[in-house]
Amino acid sequence: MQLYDYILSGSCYKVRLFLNILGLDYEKIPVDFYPGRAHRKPDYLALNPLGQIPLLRDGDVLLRDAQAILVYLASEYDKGGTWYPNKPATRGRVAMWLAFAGGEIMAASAARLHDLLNYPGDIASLRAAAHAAFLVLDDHLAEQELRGQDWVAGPDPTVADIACFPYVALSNDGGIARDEYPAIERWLVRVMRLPGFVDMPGILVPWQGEGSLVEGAA
Amino acid sequence: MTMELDAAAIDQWYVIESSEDLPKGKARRTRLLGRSVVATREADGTLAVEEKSAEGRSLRALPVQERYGYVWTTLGTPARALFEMPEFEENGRRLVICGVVTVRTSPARIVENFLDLSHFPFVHTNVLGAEPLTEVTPYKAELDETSGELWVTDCGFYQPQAMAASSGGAQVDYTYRVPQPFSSVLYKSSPGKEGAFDLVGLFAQPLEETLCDVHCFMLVYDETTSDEELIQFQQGIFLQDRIILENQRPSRLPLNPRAETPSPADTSSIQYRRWLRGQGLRFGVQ
Amino acid sequence: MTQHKLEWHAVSGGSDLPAGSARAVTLQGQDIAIWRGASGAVQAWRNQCPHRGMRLSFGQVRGERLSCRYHGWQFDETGHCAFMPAHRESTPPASIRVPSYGSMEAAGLIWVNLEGGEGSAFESGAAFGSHDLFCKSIYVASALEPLACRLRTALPNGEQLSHSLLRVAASQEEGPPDDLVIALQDMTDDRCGLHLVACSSGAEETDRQTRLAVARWARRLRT
Repeated sequence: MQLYDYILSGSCYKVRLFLNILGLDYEKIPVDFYPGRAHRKPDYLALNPLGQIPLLRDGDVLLRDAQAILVYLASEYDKGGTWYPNKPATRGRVAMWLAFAGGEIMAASAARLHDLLNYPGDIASLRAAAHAAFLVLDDHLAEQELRGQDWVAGPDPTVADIACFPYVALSNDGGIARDEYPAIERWLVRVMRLPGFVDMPGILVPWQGEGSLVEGAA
Repeated sequence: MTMELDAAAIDQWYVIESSEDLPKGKARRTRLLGRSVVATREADGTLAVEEKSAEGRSLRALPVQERYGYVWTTLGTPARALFEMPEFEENGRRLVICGVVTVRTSPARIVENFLDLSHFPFVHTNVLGAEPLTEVTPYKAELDETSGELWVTDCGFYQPQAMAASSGGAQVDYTYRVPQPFSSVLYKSSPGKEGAFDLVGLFAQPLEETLCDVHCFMLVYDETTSDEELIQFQQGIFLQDRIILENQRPSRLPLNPRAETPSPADTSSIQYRRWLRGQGLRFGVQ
Repeated sequence: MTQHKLEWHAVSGGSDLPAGSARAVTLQGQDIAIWRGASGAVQAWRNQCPHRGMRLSFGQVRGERLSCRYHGWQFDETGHCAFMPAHRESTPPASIRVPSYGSMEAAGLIWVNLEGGEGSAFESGAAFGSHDLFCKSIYVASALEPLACRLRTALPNGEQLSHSLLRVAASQEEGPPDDLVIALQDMTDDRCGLHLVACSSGAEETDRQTRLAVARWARRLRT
């Protein structure tokens, strides 16, 4: 399996995170998104005419769009079937929050690209749109907790949690504070405590406790 | 309104663009010390930098030079020529321009963080450091009287993955050179050539007092790692620093020795602040 | 900023600060880190590490200490630096300390006193009576005075108890599904927090339904 990857991309990170949770081996093909803009060059456009990262190749399967890749990986490799559940109502809710992850939450990604790499955009309206999305998510997660459900689409973590996580967790990079979203903060910690969790630059992980010393340290 | 600039800030050379990002026929509009500047490379290759008014009127032509893969300019009259980096002449090294990242803080906070050793295990966890190997052994930070530069030497730190090409943890030797207030170069043990040092350079371009474009390059002995991998490694490290830098208060670096509390591990920071104070710098400090 | 007679200010729901977490809150323009150790004790500190100015709300709670995200300096519950990882064997000077504010937990909320608060009375206790079931915090783009005024007129059965406390009786119409006390948090000149507290029934399931109903009703206060 090959992942066309860029370390600072929250969308690529969705896939890296899920591959790690599933314990799957893969090869990273680094795309010089910045400063090289390799994703806009003919070689890459031949693979993905939308010029977006990530891109996953698994045998004959070639997929773009992080949400689509998560759905594929869960369907193909999650033998337990919990990450992309079969139950129609749950699957509908998963699809709803996947669309939110690829839609409304992407305002936070655009704000981040603006602040980080000088991408064009009206930063005030991008941040306002991200805050509006975060408010919806925070209200929802607070209610979920009161229903005894810790995750966006039900009692178990699904690909919808993986898809929503990165650009929320990276929001400070785009000048979007999360001080007013306590339910989001609790959910972020729950995601960060999932077995197989990996971080990326810009994400601040909670303390793992004494004895969680690092592999490779003498 | 244009702020009054102090000589220590104005009489410096600043990077405003990498050479590769300013091809023939292209112009880049940017900011420097709160002023508007435009760099242009004509179709025939001629390079020019102008200061513009807020309305976009040309105010004056600025000095320009192209070295080390970057376009340099100044708003003042630097007393010294641009510092020399003889390593650029050495055979077998590869220059990799790692892009520009914007950071909402002062240039002095950015350079001070670049010179900092004790944050490695906490900010660059499992890459440049790891608990419990957090001890900072004594090192030196001194002003070189002849060159007027600040040098930080004899630094050593255990790093799980010191460079993109590193195959595992290693005790890594560091030297930092600060040739001018907002530029620094790090020399660290090269995984690609025994006994040699790789260079990681950081040039802060202050757009405003507390907003910077940070330009990074690597000059390495490494024939195996691709440019893409080197760039992503360096950008990953810098993004770990960025969330810290943007959340330090105040954003302007306090030069009063009593404003913040250093420990002996902060020798580089103590000397850097003293050096800036001695130059009478006021831009981006307090 | 206007000075208020009430010294204690609500800044968070108690359950919005779980054990082992830290959060940034703003009170009268001050950036404050509140955090809760593993044992449940709450602290409110200036949100700035004395070492290199890093906001401590980004730190990690490690047992009963807060560890700064930048260099790992650890501060104990008194605000004193207890450990500097760069000097593992040495004891940090007693002079290194994070300035702290008064903090306490009452009526389901976390309260901060900017003057320190040692020994000062919690005047709001009486207003809350048996209200101790924190339901929801709402944040509004408004200064405190006009917000309090607007709520008083918009909500039937609303009664202003003090500068920053309102009591609102349950009603079938526009009012909340349960009797509430609302504590207002003066964050900045154009930002306020509202912390909604109902009466606990003593039964977990009933309380959960109350919190859900109040949380849903509360969203209308944003506009």
